[in-house]
This record gives sequence, C-alpha cells and structure tokens, in this order.
Amino acid sequence: MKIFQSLGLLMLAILGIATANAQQQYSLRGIVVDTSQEPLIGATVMVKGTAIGTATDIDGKFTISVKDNDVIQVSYVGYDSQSIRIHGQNDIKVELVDNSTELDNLVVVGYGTQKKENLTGSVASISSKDIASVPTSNTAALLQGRLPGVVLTSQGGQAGYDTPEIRIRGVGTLSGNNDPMVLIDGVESSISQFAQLSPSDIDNISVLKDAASASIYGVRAANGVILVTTKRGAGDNKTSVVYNGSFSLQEATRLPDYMNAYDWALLYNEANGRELYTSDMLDAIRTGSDPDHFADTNWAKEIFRTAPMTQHSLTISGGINDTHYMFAIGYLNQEGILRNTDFRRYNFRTNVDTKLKRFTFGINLAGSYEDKGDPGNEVTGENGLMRMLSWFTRPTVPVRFSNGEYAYTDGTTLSQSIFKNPLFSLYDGYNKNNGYRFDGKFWTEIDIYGGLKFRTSAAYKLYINDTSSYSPKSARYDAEGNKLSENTVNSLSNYRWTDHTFLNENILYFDRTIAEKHNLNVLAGFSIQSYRYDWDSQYRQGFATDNLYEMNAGTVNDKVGGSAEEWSLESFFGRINYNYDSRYLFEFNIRHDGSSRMPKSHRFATFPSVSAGWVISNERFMEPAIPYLSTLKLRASWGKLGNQEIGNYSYSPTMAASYNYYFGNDKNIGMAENIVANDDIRWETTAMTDIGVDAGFFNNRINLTFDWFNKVTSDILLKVPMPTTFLGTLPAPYKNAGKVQNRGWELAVNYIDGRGDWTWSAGFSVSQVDNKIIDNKGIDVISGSSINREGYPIWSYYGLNALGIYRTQEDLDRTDSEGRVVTINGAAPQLGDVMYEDVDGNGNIDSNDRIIIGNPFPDYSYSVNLGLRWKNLDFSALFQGVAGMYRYNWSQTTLTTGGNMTTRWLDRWTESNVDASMPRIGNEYNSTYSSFWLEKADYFRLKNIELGYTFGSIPKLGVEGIRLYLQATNLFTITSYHDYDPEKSTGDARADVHPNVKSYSIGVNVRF
Amino acid sequence: MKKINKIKNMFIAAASVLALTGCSDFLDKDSLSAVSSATFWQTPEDALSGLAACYDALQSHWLYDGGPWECGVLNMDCMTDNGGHFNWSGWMAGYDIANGIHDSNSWLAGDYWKACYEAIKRCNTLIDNIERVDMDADLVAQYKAEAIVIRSLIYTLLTSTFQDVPYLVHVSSLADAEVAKTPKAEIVEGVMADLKKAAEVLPSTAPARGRITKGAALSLLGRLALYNEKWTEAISAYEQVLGLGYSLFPDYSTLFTQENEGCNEIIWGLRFEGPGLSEGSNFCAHWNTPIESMNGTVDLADAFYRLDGTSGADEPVYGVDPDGNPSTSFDFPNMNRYDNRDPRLYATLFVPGMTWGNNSGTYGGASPSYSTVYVMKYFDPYDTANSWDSGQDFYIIRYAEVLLSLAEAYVEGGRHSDAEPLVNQVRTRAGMPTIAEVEGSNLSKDAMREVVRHERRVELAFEGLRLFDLYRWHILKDAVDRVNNEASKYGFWYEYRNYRGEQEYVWPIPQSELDCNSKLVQHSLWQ
Repeated sequence: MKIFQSLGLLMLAILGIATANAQQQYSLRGIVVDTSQEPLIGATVMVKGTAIGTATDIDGKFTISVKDNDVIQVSYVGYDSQSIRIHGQNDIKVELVDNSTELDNLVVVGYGTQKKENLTGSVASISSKDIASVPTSNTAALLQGRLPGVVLTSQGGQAGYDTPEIRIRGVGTLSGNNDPMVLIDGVESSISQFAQLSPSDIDNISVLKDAASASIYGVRAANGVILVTTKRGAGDNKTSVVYNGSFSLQEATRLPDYMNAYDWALLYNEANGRELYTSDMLDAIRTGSDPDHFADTNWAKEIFRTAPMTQHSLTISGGINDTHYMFAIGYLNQEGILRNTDFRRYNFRTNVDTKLKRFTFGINLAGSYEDKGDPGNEVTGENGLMRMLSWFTRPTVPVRFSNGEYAYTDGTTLSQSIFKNPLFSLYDGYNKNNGYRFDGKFWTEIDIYGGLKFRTSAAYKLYINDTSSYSPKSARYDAEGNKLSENTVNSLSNYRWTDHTFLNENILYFDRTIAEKHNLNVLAGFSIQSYRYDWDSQYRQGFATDNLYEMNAGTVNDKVGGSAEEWSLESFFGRINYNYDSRYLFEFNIRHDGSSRMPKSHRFATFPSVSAGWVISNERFMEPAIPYLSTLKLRASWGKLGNQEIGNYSYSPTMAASYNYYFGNDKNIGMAENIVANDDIRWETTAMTDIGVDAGFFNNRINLTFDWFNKVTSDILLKVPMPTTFLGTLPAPYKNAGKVQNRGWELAVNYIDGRGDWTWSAGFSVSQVDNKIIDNKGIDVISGSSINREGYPIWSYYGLNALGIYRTQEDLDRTDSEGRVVTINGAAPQLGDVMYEDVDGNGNIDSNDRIIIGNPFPDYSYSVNLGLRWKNLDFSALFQGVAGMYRYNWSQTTLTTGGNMTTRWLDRWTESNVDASMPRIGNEYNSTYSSFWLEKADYFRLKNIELGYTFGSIPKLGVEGIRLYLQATNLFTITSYHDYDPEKSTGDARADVHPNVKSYSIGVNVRF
Repeated sequence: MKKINKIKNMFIAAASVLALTGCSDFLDKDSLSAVSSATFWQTPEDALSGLAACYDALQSHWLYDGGPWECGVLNMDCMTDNGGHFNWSGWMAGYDIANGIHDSNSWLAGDYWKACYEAIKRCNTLIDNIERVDMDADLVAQYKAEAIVIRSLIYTLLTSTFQDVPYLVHVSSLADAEVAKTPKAEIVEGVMADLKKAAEVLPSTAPARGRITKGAALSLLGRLALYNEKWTEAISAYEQVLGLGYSLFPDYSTLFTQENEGCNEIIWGLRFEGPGLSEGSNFCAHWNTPIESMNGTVDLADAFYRLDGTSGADEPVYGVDPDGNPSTSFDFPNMNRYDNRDPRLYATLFVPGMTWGNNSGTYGGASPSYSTVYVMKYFDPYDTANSWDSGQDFYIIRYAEVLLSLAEAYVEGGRHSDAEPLVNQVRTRAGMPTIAEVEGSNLSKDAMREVVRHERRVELAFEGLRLFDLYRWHILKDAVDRVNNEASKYGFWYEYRNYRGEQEYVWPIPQSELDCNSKLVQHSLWQ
C-alpha cells in the first residue's frame, strides 16, 4: 500500500503546481461545436503559455479571460486541438474535427475490417498503445483484464513456459481443446506463437466472440477467434524510429509458508506415533548445533530467487510514395525466478507493400529464435520440482553437507531414497529447449473495377523445436562421505519436432454504395491449408565424460524414434454485409469446410451465421429526444461454429508396430491395434445466439457495451468411457455424444474525459458465464477429484462432503438413520479426523458417498482500469479479479514421504487443540478429496500499474520524444486463499504449478 | 532431402487443388506410422507380428514386468506373509490390498484388470483373424494354440483374483462392448478344455526360446486344475510334463540370472532383452542398493531352515548398536542371525550379513528395511547400470513348481506318499536334507501337506504364486496375523494389516468398469 501513499502525495504536488495565478484582461465568450454543429460539452479552452483555462458547459459555451494577441487552445478528447490567435474579438465559434483516424474507427474482423459503427457482431479489441509499454515475457498475458468475456488464467510463471490459458465465453467442449483460434496477419497460429510475438510489433488485437463474427472461420472457430495484426508503415514520406527498452526485477507472487525444522520434526513424531526425532535431536535442530544432521532449510526459498529481465525493441517504419515499410527487431532476456531457468528471444519482422497502378504487392516476413534454459528436472507434475517441495523434501536436511555433497538425509534413519534434493535436480545435467520460427506471406491485390477487388495470398510457416537433455552420472553420499547409492548411467536424449503450415487464400471483395444510402459489402473466398508435423528422437548412453553433450560422444544403448502427422483443410467462405443509411445493418456469413480429420462420409460441413443491427441513434426521431445519448445500437446474431480438435486420425482404426517381442534372439515386430476407432464420427457444432447493446453518452465520453449470449455445443466428440474388456489399455474412441451450454453476459463501461492539461479515464468490465453439461449420455466421467455429470459444470469438483472435524465423543458417536455408528472406510473414526457426510446412508463413508462439491468456474470475472494524464505525466492502473471461485488447497495428512508441511498445520487437531482448523496428522483418509480441501479462491489483484513522464523533443539529437516509465505487474493480491497464488488451473489440486511472477520495471521509449 | 521433398509435395498438392478447385485427394490423409486394420492379416509375417503382440501383452507392468512402484503378478508376494511394502507403503500399487483397506477403486485392481483384458483382446484378435492368412495350416494351428495358452494364463489370473469375470473368446465390437460375467467354474472348464486341445497341437521343443510348448500348456493346465481342486486332472497334466524331459538346474543360486534363463528347468520364460533394445525389463531394477519398494518378512526368512533342517526362528533379530549396547532398532540387526541357512535364502532374500554387490555400507547402502529384510531374487547387485533395461527373463513356469504342485495334488488326491520323492528332488537340488532326514518317514497326509506347503513357500517365494496359494488354502487370516504379530513382537513399523473377512479373498471389480458396463455386477462380497 505504500506505493499508493507515495502516488497520492505526488498527485497532490502536481495539483498544487496546476493552480497558478491567472492574469485578467477581458472576457472572451465562445462556443465549441463539432463538424455537425453539435455543441461539445466539457471541451478544454486554455490560454497558451499560461495556466488560464476553462471548460465548456452543457451548451458547449465558455467564457475565458484573454488579452489581445493571446493564443487560445481548444481541445477535446477524440478531436484535433485547435489554436486560435485572439485579435480583440468578444465572441468566437470553434469547430473541432473528429481526430479518430480511420484505424481507430475500423475494427479488424475476419478477412477484412469494418467500421465500428456498422458492426453487428460481438468484437472486442485493443490497440497497440494499450499494451506497447508493458514489459512482459509473454505477450498473450497482456490480454488479461483488458477484454471483457476473455478470461485468462496463468499456468505459472516459469521462464519460457508462462503462456496463460485463454477462454472466450466459457468452456465449450469436453473433448479437450478449448483454446481459441489465433490468426496473426490472417495466418492460423496458436496461443503459444502469439505469446512469443514482440509486443511492439502489434498494431491491433481483435477478439471475435460471437458466432456472427467468428463463423467465417467455420470449423476452427468454436472457441472464439483472436486476430492479431502487426504494424505496417504509414505513407507520410517520413521515417520514424522507435526504441523501447525496459529492465525488470521479478519475484514470486507468493511462496508457501513452510514449517521450520523444529515444528516439522515434532509433527513427524506426532504423525508416526513414535519419537524418531529424540529430544537430543530436537535440541540440535533448535540450536543449530549440528547443521549437517539437523538443519533448518526453507526449500522454497532455496530454489526461488529475485531475477532480472531485460527487453529491447527497435521499430523503423515509414513510407515513400506508394511503398510502405516496417522493420522491427526485438530482444528479450529473462532470468527465471526459479534457479537455473532462463529464456532468451530474438525476433525480427518486416512488412512491406507497394502499389503499381491497380496492383498492390505485399510481403510479411518474420522470424524468431527462442532459447529456453530448462532446469535439470521437470517443474510441474508428479515428478516435478514443485512436488519435490511439497512431498519429498523436509527442513531438517541441509541443501549441502559441509563436505560439499548434496544432502538427502538428516541425522535419523529416514530413507535417502524417498528424499529428492531439488537443488541437485535443478542443476543436474544439461537441458536446452530451442525454438526456431519463420513466418512468410506474400499477397497481391488487384483493384479490378468499381469496388471489385481480388486478393490472393500464399503463406508458409515453419517452426522447429529442438530439445536436448543430458543426464550425468551421480551418486548420493551422507554427511560422513559414505556413498549411499549411485546412478552409474549417463545418457543424452534429443527430441526435435517440426511444424509446417501452408495456406493459400483467394478472395473477391466488392464494396459499393448505391444511391447514397445502400451500402453493400460482399466477400467470397476459397482457401486451402495443409499442415505437417514431424518428430524424431535419439537416445544414447555411455558417455566417457559428463561434459560432452552431443550424440556421437555416447557409446551404447541407442534408441531412435520418429513419426509424422498431417492434416488438411479446404474451405469456401463468403460474407454479405449491407446497411441502409447506417441505420439498419445486416450481415450474412457462411463457411463450407472440409477436413481430413473426418471420415469421408461426413467430411464437409457448413457453418452459417446471420446478424442484424439497428443504430437507433441515427434515427431522426432520436435527436431531439435524448440529447446526451450520442450512440445507441441494438445488435442480434445467431450462427454455427465447428470444432475439429480431435487428433488427426481418430476415425480410422490402425495397427502399430510398437508391441515387439523377442523369440529366442530375434526381435519380432509386434503388431496390434493402437487406435480403437469410430468411423461414424461427425463434426462437433456450436450454435450461439448473441444480443447486444452499444451505447455512448455525452459525445461518447461514456461508452457502454453489453452482450448476452447463449452458446450450445452439441455432438461433442467425446471419449465416452467404455468397458476395458473391450478396449484393453487403449483409450475409448470418440463418439458424438455430449452437449454443453455456456450462457452468460458481458458488460463494459468506459469513461474518458479531460479538462485543461488533465485527461482521465476509468473503465469497468464484468463477465459471467454459466457452464452446464446438458447431455453426457447419462454417464459420469470421473477423473481424480473432478467429474463430468449432466446438469453440472464441466469438471465439477467431486469428492466427499466434509462436515467438519470430529472434536467430541458425541461427534464420534454419530449414527446413520438406522442407528449404526458411521465408520470411515470400514474403520471407526478418531478425534481429529475429518467428518464426512454419509450420503448413501449405509453407515460407512467410502467412495460411494462422493457428491459434487463445487464449481470450478468463477461466478464473475472483472477488471477495473484507471488512467490519468497531466501535461507530460501519465498514470494508469489495471485491477483484475474473480469472484465466486474455488480451488483445491489439498495437503498430505500423513508424512509417509517425509515432505514439507505449511504452517497451516501448526493449527492441527491435538488433544490440547481441539478447536483446530486442520485435522489430526497421521490419517491418510483425511486427505481424501473432500470439500474440506476446497477453498475459496476469489482474488482482486493490481495487475498492472504504471507511471510515465514524457520529455519534449531534443532536436540536436533528432529525438522527437522520450518517455520514461515505472511499472509493476501483480503488485498485490487480495485473497483469502492459503499459501499459494489463487490464480491457477482447475486441475491443480496438489500445488504442482510454478508460482506466478510479480515484477517491477523501469523503461524508456524514444522516438526519433 | 527427403523432408524438402515432402514440403515440395505439399506445395504441389496444394497447387493442384487450386487448379481443380477441390476435387482431388487433398483431404485424404492416412496415418503415416500405422497400417490400417482392414489391410492387416494377409501374410505369414502379419501372423507372426500378431503373435508377437500377444506375448508382448504379458510384459505389462501390471502383469509380468513392473518397476519399483507398479506391481503385477510379480510383486504380489508383498501382499502376502512373504513380504510387504513396509518402507514405501502408499507409494506402492497393491499396498491397499495388502493392508485390507482397499475398495473397488483400488489402483492395482483397475490396472491389473485392464492389462489382462488387453492381453485377451490381442489373443482373440489373432484367434479370430489368423484363418484369413494364406499360410501353412500347421503353423496356423500352432500360432492359434500359443495365443490360446496366453489367454488361458490370463483367465487363470483373473479367476484367481476377481473370480467371476466376463469370459471373452472372440473379439467384441463397438456395439457389443458391454458383457456380463461368467461364473468362475464355467470359465475354468472352458479354459481347461482349451489347454488340452492346445497341448495336442503345440511342439514339445520350442521353435525359439520363449515360445510356448506342449510342456507350458500342460503345466498351466495342471496349475489351473490344482487352483480349482481338480486333483485328478492336475495329476494327469503334471504327470505328462514329467515325461517331457525337464530337469532341475543344479545351482539354485544362479538360476535367476540371465546366464541360465535358457536352462532345462524353465518351462515358460517371458522374454526380455536388453539393454538398449527397447525390450528390457524393469522388475529387477535397483540403484546399486536393495530396492526399498519390496520388503521380505522375518516370517519368510525363518521359513528357510538351517542347513540341518531345524528352524532358526528363535535367534535374536537385533544386534548391538555402535556403543555396544543391545539394539532395539532395525538399524542394528543381528548380522549373524542368518548364518548356515538353506542356501535358497540368500538367493531369495537380502538379509543382515549379506552385502549388495560391491557396496559394503549398512544394508548395502540402502536405508534399513523396516523388517531388516529386503528381496534378492532376480536382482543382480553387480549390475546397476542395466537393471532398468534388463535382459532378465521372468520365469512364468519352471519345473520345480511342477514337482511341488504335483506333490500337492498327490497329497490332496489321496496319494500323499507319492509326494515324498518329488519334494526330495527339490530339496536335494537346494542342498537341503530330505524328508526322511528331517521330518522322518511315513508321514501322515496332514504332515505331508505341511511339508509340501512349506517347501512350496520357500522354493517359489517372490515368484508371484504365494498370494494365490493363500487364497486357495484359505489361510489369509493366519498370514495377516503372522505379519501383524511380527511387527509388534520386534517393534517393526509396519502399517497394520486389516482382515475384514471373506471379501479379502476376492478382488472387487473396478468401479470404473462397473460404471460403463451396465451388464456387469460387482461380486456379492463387495456389494
């Protein structure tokens, strides 16, 4: 909170400066209007070079003291400022021109752009200026809180692996992939590619949320579409050079608060009912007298650190006659907050286009090199470093013994074999993960005649990912130097995969206004896209020394593998957009997609959409009615979308040669079924209805957008569980089985205003989605602690219903309706155990008593943004949060593996602490998934805060402007969730994810 | 170059589609690494590949392979009085069954069921399709018989655990995937008939090591008959095996090594080949120390008598601590307790006084076993590097089992004196005195039963047979008590083993299976 106090003081100081003395000469009266002669309310009128200023009233009128020859400056948000020299007049009329450039008014939509006022679909967008200066290692993360209805969830902040989960209007399918489609300059990409774009390359991001705007992408659009457009040069015969650089310090938003060694040792004794840690040992722990055998290590603090990040980008753009160009290079160097992790990225991009008579030619070329330094051990998952912290390390073991060896034991007989030293694992071996990306697109546009244009393009994308992992020999020793165990095998394992995408599009555009009021815009296109994925792997053991990391240094036990997959898509699409007098808007979209992923009989499918809008504010009758209402538009749309993310060959049964066996000394190829197929699958389709309102008040200084939608996904391709007597160990085939509904609304209100040297803005957005499985063929699909059941949200939390903790004899004597004492898994409960509801009423708690105990989706996602600018000083803040969300905060309840425990456990049930918040230690059944472990994970977070100052030009150096800024990300979070960051994926019950990152940055932006 | 060509082809394909506007095979993309099921089963090579896949199914980590955490047939002795998951407890599949705290969501029960039906599916696929292949009719019959024996082994496992299970002898289709249970007796009858037929077709000598022979089929027939108390049929099957020329390998201490996996005692060994051949086993993996995932019990260690045939159970378990005081902790066991025991002890268990290969630290370097005893059978302490990808075969059936099973069938079938020479054969090979030398002559039927059961326990410990023996002899309660008593007697930190009643003799059908098969009903003891 300190930072707020400081900011407040700063602002007060600035205000003080602003109220300087004014010198009175004579009163000038005036009126400020826009080009349609509407008065502008609240326009700023300043006498240049003084602090004298005023604002226009509700009729657009103002009075200001001036003297002859003064220059008054009239400005208004969204309009070009005007400077007028006063020559003694008493009255003045100032007409301001709307300065929103064409780009601001245009919204990028599928295969084109549309005027915002003519839009009938639900499209949200952000422009480069909203995000350009936020230092981030992940561009996709910039969307968080900035687009209503687009919900991002961090998956952890590991360097190079911090791409968030993005969900647009809920989770539509049960069959896996709910990621939106991402297109970069019209070419299908992925969230992970978007994440690695240089933010300064981006001109605009549009999100197509409803079916009307997305259906032109047909079979890939069911999860929404994100369109990213990169910058192009402007045609002003001038070259502009922009440098952006920042330096950041990063740390974990939150690390679990683990018990110290002494408390832990007591807990261990209690858990096992025996004094493994004797009083002598406990003394040694407390006094630190024998750090080799009885240490006090905080493993979380040992493996995390405060780490720097640097970013540079240089963008050169401009135009000469009919040729426009943009060259950009970018560099990111991030040290991870987890030790021995880092990420470096080098980007370049060139966008050039040129015009020759009726022809326009353009080329986009971009490439990047990503260099990830991975730790010696995976981070997440059952064998990950995070699990080591929670399960396999304990504070009584030092990081290293005084003899320099990594430690695995303390002074007890606790086994070294279950212990995992995360510091050793972090630095063990050599791991790299490199990505090489190339994107190219060439296009030609021909202006045929009278609004008819043809555009053809060819794009090729390549991505190569190369991982190499070397595992050296190692041995474990005790504090005395005795060898405990050893790994005598060293090995190198390489894996490489390559993605190729080819895309060809051919589109006819027709754009014409007939008889002034009939505006017609038609598009028809054909495209083909093909994709191929190759992978290969090599493995070898027997390296002579542990510092050679190439395959040829290995000697024995070679293993190789490799395969490839392909898919292709052939599509016809079209759009008719018509509006009458900018009052009545209609649009029709259609796409006919054929995919190689479907059996021949159902290969093609059609995805239509219709939408209409009524711009009520353009009706003549509205003008006198409500003067402060500047825009009012009603929108409605309906359409269908598809999903083909079910793997490439799901419909065809195959046999694979991976079941080999030796007869004698001969290896025999073993062939067996490797896919159980269903050759009758067809498309999964999503039908969505959207009703929306756009309204602007007071010359659009207040804008409101509201959308209600109902999205129903049916024929969901589902791996309905089947008897394994039929499947064996293979996964069930897809069937068109499920139906899911996402119904919700989004509201965004933005306010921007200014007076004098001040401009301020505030915005609020909130969205809500109700997710429900309508049809799951009556089957419950249970996966660990989650369930898919009809009538409930996807992956609802499933477990026992905890009623509390057994605290009294009365509790223990609890009986069912037939008077039987309720047992837990056949055994009598003890004081301190978690008490569960006996749902089936049979007097015993077991897995049949599980019920749905929670919804994994938040009730509301919201964000608040604030902006303030005074002269050259600017400030902005973005808050973001969720409400009504639950996450598991599960913990072990025994110390079988001798793992760390958080300080929550200090308040555990014991005979002397019967009112404890945690159960007794030592009973594994207490850790059964139950509502006891489900915790409210609402949070409210200061996502981003920024303070900037812009210096004027320095002509000598050719500098047009310099902006310096201070910035912080995830500065604070308000939550009641214990120990971990509440922003994490639903599936993470056991705190296996890498912590999120908080950062403090300083940056500079220089324009030449 | 090849890759570039592929990319070029992509462009050509795309361009040609452009030209034809959509009427080409642009959208036909078939798997690039797997063949279509429809075009398989045509050549003799296809048939042999299909057969290899049937054998391969037995290499599942839930059947006859398994790393330190999984546990199929192989580690099932840890669910008996022979051993336990004492040090690693809840990490180990099957610990819940061992401790009598499992229900129908048991991890092991689910994966074991799945692995069994995967093997059955592969066998049925061969059995149903091999006639389509144009090849020598005798070979067709032989391959089919091999698949039938593998399937029979699986049904032996299934009926010994779940009892009544779906009995599938043909490939099922998507439409008829839900199948009801068949009573155990009916399955046993069908499988025994299958095995008899298979034995007639199969050759006496294997075409290659690891292939199923007449001996394997008859031995399995004997095992299934014995498990189902069909003494006459067991005797008849096993007596036929006696005539097939198998013999005991002279040195028990090197029997479970790669060197001797081809010896004349092995009737059916599951092949593993490694390292570096992608066909290695994990079941004898270790980190240059005994593996802490499997503990032996003192109860089993004491079943290995002294060389003179007397019991060493009364020797103290604990030794002295480094200060010279009497120890009460398994950290300092009596290092001489197991001197002069049945030589098979040192090939079966890792007991105090032994060293692990070249590793001379306490207990060979591992942390102390909660029971002072680890497992040795199949482990090669001198080879850590390759133990994770080992070429060690697992012996599904060996001749010693045949002798002891036949002995048991004789005892139960009313010919108990005929059992004596069979037991003596096994004892003599081990270097132990005969029945006459230790237990005396003219033993009663009950006394002979005890001798045979005891011999079976020590000879075959940690070969995955003990659990089924406890089930069929109905002595599980006694076994559970002995482990619990041992824990309290010596102050060992074992988790308590529950015995909830008859339900412990049968495994619950996996809940996930019941959930998606409306025809399947849980065993009555688990309802």
